[in-house]
Amino acid sequence: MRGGRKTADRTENTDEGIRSKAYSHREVSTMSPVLWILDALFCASLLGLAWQTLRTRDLFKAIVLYIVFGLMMAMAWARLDAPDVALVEAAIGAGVTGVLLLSTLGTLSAARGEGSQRGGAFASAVPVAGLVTGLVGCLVGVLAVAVWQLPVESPGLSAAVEARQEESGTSNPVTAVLLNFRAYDTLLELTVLLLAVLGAEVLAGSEAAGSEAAEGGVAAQETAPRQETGPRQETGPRQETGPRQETGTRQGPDAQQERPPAADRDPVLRGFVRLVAPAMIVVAGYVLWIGGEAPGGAFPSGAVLAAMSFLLMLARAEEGPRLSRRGGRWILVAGLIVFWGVGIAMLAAERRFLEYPVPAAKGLVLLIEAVAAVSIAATLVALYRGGRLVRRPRRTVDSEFRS
Amino acid sequence: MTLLDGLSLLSIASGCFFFVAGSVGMLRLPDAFTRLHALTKADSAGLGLLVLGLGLQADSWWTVLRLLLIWLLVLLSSATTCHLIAQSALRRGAALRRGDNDE
Repeated sequence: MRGGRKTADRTENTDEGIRSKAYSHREVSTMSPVLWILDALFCASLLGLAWQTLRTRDLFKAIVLYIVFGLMMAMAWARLDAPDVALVEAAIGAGVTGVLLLSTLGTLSAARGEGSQRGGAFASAVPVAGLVTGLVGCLVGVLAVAVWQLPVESPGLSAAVEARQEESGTSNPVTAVLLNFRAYDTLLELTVLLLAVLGAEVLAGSEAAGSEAAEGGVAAQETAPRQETGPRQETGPRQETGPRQETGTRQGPDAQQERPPAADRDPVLRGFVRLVAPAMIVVAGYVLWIGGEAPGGAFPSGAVLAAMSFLLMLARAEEGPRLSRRGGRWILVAGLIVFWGVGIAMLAAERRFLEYPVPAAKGLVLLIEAVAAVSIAATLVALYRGGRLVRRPRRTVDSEFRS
Repeated sequence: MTLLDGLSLLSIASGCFFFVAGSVGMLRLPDAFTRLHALTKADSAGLGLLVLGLGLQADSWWTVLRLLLIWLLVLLSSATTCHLIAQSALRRGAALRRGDNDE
């Protein structure tokens, strides 16, 4: 784990990278055959899953395979002694990205009608695909050669990090690097996330300013991730019947015309969310706090909070304090504001930008992480909703509240 | 190897058996509902046995507590997910297989 995110990223895509990392971080001489077989299985299943994901023509199946790939990738990271990366990969790579892809698919099929997304558009792109495959192949080859030439024992900057660990305010080297020694990187990462939300909002805004169709698409996708054979069946007619979630089960398929009130939509799901949501908030706080001494921190914590919001949206249990749109925007930028604020405060105290005084380092890191976690969660939710944390007013209650 | 080690080995091995059986069931059983049945057994019983085996090896009660919590959360979510998937399959008319020997 010493190398942490930065060094690990470089070798991510190649088999050899995984292998050499595993070898350099463990005592190679005593590697048991069982572990060797485990590693071989990891590599084989990752490659197999990646191939299947690219090859399958059914987009829904491809997304599910991609999510499974993300989970396997997370396990591979854990196996490489990089639990921080594993956490983020599982939460964001598999979880949030999967939800985003599924909701995109839901919106696509709602907009285009059934079946048209089944890869028809890609059939004509075979030469392009061949070219891309060739280029990617070359790139992987170059990477493999580069990794092959790396020294097996490559300590990177871990000795330097260890030497100054005491001053960083945390005992987790990854957190020390991310939020103290190289806080610039994290600051810019948060900026990139915010830019992504802005991009999504601008695109969504130009696409469907005031059109109800987009809202319908959003509504249709919300049930998507829970469904087995895919959101593509969720097309036009179902939307018109409105509360489609629960019609069939309790009264049987014959009673489908009766619409239960919205509040009574899936009692099981709602009960589950009611139980689990508070626990998820506690977990998010725990992950954030533990980041000071063990794997954790703002990004996984924010992802857990975002996952909780997705669950709330799925169960339509969003009654809570209502936000104004302006309030939503403040939450989106709060992490960056605090980060910049701390940085500039350091300048004012005649230090360098983001150079924390040693006694206050722990508190400052925790403050930045706590606010950043909320902003990251808000960012992920906003991406899921097409760039807006708070939807445009639909009902009179909302507009009254906003006044 | 102490008695404790033996018990935890036994428990983990039987947990793994449940997972293998669940995977085989998911691949081999004929329809969505029977597959769900196989999967949720693996989730609940298999993970429970794994947690038991690992709990016996844990060095503090705090770890045992966290393991139990993980199991409880997975129980909750697997039961809910199973319900949702089954419901959605039923709603869209997935064929209920009525063979000769299953009712």
